[in-house]
Amino acid sequence: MKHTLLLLLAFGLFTTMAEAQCRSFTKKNCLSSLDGYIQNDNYNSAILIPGDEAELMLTFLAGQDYRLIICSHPVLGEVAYEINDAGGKLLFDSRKNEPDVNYVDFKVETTQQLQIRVQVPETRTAIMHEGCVTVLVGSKS
Amino acid sequence: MRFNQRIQALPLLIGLGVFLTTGCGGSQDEHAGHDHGTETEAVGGMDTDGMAVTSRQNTLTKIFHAAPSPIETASLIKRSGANFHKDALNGANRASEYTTSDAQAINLGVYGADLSYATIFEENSTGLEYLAVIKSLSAELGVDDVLSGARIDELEANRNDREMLIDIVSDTFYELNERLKFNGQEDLAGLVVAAGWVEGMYLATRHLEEASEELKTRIAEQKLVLDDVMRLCQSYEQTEALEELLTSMEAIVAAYSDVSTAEGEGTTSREESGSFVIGGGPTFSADNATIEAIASAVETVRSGCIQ
Repeated sequence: MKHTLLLLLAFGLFTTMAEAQCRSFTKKNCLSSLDGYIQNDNYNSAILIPGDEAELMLTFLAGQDYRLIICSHPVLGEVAYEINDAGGKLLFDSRKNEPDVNYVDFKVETTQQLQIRVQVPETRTAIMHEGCVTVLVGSKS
Repeated sequence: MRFNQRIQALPLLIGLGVFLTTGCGGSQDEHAGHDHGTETEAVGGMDTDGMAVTSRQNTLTKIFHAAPSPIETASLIKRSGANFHKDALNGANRASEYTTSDAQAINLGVYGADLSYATIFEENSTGLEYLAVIKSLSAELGVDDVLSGARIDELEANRNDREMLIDIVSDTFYELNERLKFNGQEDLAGLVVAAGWVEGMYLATRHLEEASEELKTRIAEQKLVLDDVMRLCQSYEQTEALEELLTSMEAIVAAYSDVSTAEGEGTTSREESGSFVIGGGPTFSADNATIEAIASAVETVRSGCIQ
C-alpha cells in the first residue's frame, strides 16, 4: 500500500517536473521567435529522443502569413521538418529548403490542411539524450 | 525492515521517474517500436534547459493537435467584408451565471471569440469589457495569472492600441491552453477551443442576408477547421461535458457534409522576400441552403453553450 502511494507520488512529481521544464524551455528559447506574429493558442511541446518523430495536422487559412517554428534543444542535433499537403505530397523539406534556420515563413493560396512532420536525427552515441521539442505556429494578416 | 523496503523501492521509483519523464507531454503517443539497443541510465528528471539523459529505448511518433485561433477566424470574417454586430456577442454581464468549471471553460471559449471579434473590428472598449470577463472566469478556474492586472491597466492606458490588445488576447489564450494542459485539465482546454470555434462561426453567420460571396466561401472552408477542432477535442479525455459538446457539434458536421470540395495538387514557390507560397490545394463551395443549414446548426449549439 505504501509502495503504491510512493509510486503514485513519484508519477505526479516526475511528470510535472518534465512538463514544467518544457514549458520553461519554450518560454525561454522559442516564443520570442514569433515576434510580430499572433501565436496559435495551442501549446504543443514534447520530450523526444533521437529517432523520434512528431506530427501536426493543421488548417492554414488563405490570406494569412504564417511562421512555423520547430524549436528543439540543441542536444538533439539538427531536427528536420517537412510540410506535406493533406494527400501526403511533400511541399517543403527543411533539409533542402531552409537547412540553417529552425523556422519557415509561408502562406497558402487556398485554405488547406497541411501536415507538419518533425524528425529528430538518429545518434550513434552510447548515452542518448532526450530534449524538448516545441512546434509553434504564428500568423499575421 | 522498513529501511530495507525503502532501499528496495528506490530503484523502482527512479526507473519509474525516468519512464514517466521520457513519455510525458501529450495525449496521443504512438509507439513505432524501433529498438535502438542503447544503454539504460536512470535519471531523476531533466535539467533546467529542457534536456536529460534518457533511458527510453523505443522511438515514438508524437501526434500534436491544434486548430486555428478565434482571432484568425475573426480576421478572416473582417477581410471578407462582414460588419461588427455587438448585439450578437454573449452579454458580458452573464459571466456570473456560469458556476461550474465546465460552463466556465465553455464560456471562456465563447467570450474569447467575442473578444477576438471585437479586437479585430477595432472595438477596443468592448474588447476591454470582455477582457475583464475573461480574467474573472480564468480566476474561477484557478488560472487567473494568465492575464495580469498590470497588463489590463497597461491596456486601459492605451485604449486605442489595437496591436497591444491583439498581443494580449493571443498571449492570454496561449497561456490558458498551456496552463490547463499542465494542470491536467485538457478536457477544459478542449471545451475552450470547441466553444470558441462555435462562437466564431456564430458571429460569422449572423446577418447572412448581407454576407458577401467571399464570406460564404470562408464559412464553407471552415469545414477543415471543424475537422481540426473535432480531432483535437477527441484526443482529450472524454468527460461528460466534452462528450456532450462534441455530440451536439455532430449536427454542424452533418450540415458541412453538403459543402463541395474540389481537390487541387499542391505546389511550392518562393517569393523574393524569402517567404514560401504553397499553391494549389482544395477549393470549397456551398449553396445558400447549405450555408443557412450550417448557420442554423451553429446557432443551436451556441445556444446550448451560453445557457
